[in-house]
Amino acid sequence: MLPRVVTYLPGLRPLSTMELYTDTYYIRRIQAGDVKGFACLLDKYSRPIHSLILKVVQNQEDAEELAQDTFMKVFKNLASFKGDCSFSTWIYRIAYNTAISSVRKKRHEFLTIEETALDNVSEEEAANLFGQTDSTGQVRRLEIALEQLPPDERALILLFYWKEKTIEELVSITGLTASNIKVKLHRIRKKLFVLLNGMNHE
Amino acid sequence: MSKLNTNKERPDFLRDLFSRIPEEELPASFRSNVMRQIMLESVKAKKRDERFGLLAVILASLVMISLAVASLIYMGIPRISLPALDTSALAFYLYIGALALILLLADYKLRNLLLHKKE
Repeated sequence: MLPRVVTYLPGLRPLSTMELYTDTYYIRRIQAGDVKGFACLLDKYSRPIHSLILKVVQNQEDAEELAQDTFMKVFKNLASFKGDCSFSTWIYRIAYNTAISSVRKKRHEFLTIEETALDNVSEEEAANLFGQTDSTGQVRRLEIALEQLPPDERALILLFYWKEKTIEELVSITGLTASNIKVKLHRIRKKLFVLLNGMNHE
Repeated sequence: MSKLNTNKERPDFLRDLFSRIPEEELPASFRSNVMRQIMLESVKAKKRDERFGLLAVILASLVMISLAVASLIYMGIPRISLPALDTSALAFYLYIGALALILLLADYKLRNLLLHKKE
């Protein structure tokens, strides 16, 4: 049986054990004026957020700057966070929008894959050929394939597989509809299989 | 397509592959840089709030003064009747005032003269 009330914050309702040291606890501490509490959120989210942004923008300096921007936006808008979604989803939404806005400003050229190639690709074939490569090589090949995708597609597939976000969370993060996300993910997967198959045949 | 509904469903070939992608190391200065910016922003926000508070008090005071003046002039609340000044007596008061000043000056000069003679 958990104790009902374990701690107090000035001007706020008492926190239960379940809420202690959660994102909600730190958010309420910051909202109550304890700015240093932000360091705890920073410690928890800085590395995954920075990693995601770096994979999307593919530039170390830009990624660091954009990650800093993301955390500044989080701090400035913390009062507007109403808890409609989890804090994690909210912070990933800010990071996603910050990274995508940044790459949209810069013109990039990306590989275009023909529709017939996407239709003919087989997941099994890609998986079988991939099994013949060592683990480090597999990850390296996947990273090379990811680099050839447009940033928005790269962000979406990374959020789904790497950050293990659900479709519902992706809806909240990207602002796209669930059906749109499913279609996009399906196509991105196929693109990745084409790219990975291509690398395996080389 | 239904296989993509949630992450809780069967792990696939790509899921296993993505799980092996390492997260990048953060630059050592990242935490301190962000926290420094956060503290600066916090101070700025406090100053901004103070300015807004002061501005609100000034605006509220101005509104109250304006209402008081408007109610006094246009609605006659509260009703105050000031006695009208009789300007015909003004010349007499000025004459008396001037006479008092001249006498005061003459008194001052005579006292100084007597004081010098005694010394």
